[in-house]
Amino acid sequence: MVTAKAVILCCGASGRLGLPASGYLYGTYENPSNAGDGYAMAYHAGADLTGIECFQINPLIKDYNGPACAYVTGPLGGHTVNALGHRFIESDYWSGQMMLEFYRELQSENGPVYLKLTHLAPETISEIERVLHHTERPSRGRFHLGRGNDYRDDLIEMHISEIGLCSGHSASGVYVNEHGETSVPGLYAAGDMAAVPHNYLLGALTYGKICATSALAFIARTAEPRLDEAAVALESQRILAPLSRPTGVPHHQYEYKVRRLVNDYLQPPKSGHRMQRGLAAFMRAKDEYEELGAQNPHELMRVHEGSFIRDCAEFAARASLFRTESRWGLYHHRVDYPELDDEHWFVHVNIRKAEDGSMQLYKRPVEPYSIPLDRTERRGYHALRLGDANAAARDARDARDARDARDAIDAGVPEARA
Amino acid sequence: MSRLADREAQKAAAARSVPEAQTFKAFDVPVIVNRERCIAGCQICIDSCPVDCLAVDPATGKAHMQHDECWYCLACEIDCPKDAITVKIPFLLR
Repeated sequence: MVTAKAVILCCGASGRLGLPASGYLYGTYENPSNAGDGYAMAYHAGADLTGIECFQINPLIKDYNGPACAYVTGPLGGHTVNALGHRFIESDYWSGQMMLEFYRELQSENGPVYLKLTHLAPETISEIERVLHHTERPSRGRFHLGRGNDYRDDLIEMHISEIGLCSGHSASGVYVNEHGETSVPGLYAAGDMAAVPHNYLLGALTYGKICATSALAFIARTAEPRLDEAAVALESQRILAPLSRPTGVPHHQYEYKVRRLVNDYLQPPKSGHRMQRGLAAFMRAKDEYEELGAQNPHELMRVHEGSFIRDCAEFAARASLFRTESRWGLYHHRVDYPELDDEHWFVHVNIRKAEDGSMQLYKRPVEPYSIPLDRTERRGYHALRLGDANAAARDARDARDARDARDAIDAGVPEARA
Repeated sequence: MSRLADREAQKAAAARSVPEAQTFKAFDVPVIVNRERCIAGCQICIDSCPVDCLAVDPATGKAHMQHDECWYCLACEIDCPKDAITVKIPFLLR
């Protein structure tokens, strides 16, 4: 046990929430060492969570957790196409609306969806491989080689990722203010677990510094905490309990079951009846958790991660049930409330642990925009889908994009100029 | 109640209270360590693994994949000073 005047949580996303289509527990888009630890710890410490119903869902290579287009292939001229080889979205950059169009195409007669690079110059493809296969996901080249796929000749089949909670990619996280403070004094959160949308790496570093500055000021004005020995004894007992059940249910079976149920009941499109069934299952999983056993410290860690995953599943179900409208495209697409309802739901949804231990949800007003948006900007996402009438213009633009990308590479790669 | 139904009621009750039993299965694992090259006592791969799935095999003193919990991120393979590690894409994904 460590006593501290201030704590900065930086435990990353809730990356092991949904189950990847491959069925491999650790084949997640997010780093699987992040099991939602920060979300669960903050909640149980009394901190508010927010935006949980805005799930993280990514367009990924089928069976492999590498991303497709958004920030590497897109700017260099790659794009997403359907089984007919046609583009169907205006922009491949990630958004809930883009994911909804992607989902619709995948489910339609024109599915599945592919990543297309075949139209690009060889040196452009080499540059994309250099970034994607060495920096982004180092084993990605190995995966494609194993399947016999090469970007030069083949379209790469894509799919939709498992759901997760992550402020960087959606907005789900521990509620923090501009000082990195959670709603519990002395508790701070930074990175993907803190609700600062589109934070990513640079945001994580920036907010890390902001949190540290705030925490140092808090420490300076706070007295030395006293260790409550009785609470420590109780907590030790709770943490070590699974070791007293060495032949209990193994952690991976528990985790597989909870995450399979997350897929069954929470994977969008969402529906109220389905999510109620899911919530009942996650509450049952709370009892089942007491059956888990561990034989060593590694397994003990995984058992506790199981509780974080279950907690996050309950947050995700309750927040999604609370918001009775659809928003953020696929991230919160409710088939029973398919319309955007700004009149009632242009608000954030916060979750907190009530005095009686129950999970409490409430609406938090949206702060005024620092820069006013005009009507067209607010509707931009709804014009993402390309119509067939645009086919000719699109083809012309694709050709121009490919040429521009080639020129850009030529300018930056010495051997291409030579 | 018939004898069969009665037996089922008893077994159903027993199924809810009987202690657990376990079985063990072999897994095809993605991280392959070359034991000849691996240095006993070196923990670099174990430390670099983000998911804590590598450990020293007490039988050999060398590193091995103890848990099939790989993110196939290649950190262990890249960091190994003896080039003793090869990571395969996990079978379920290949």
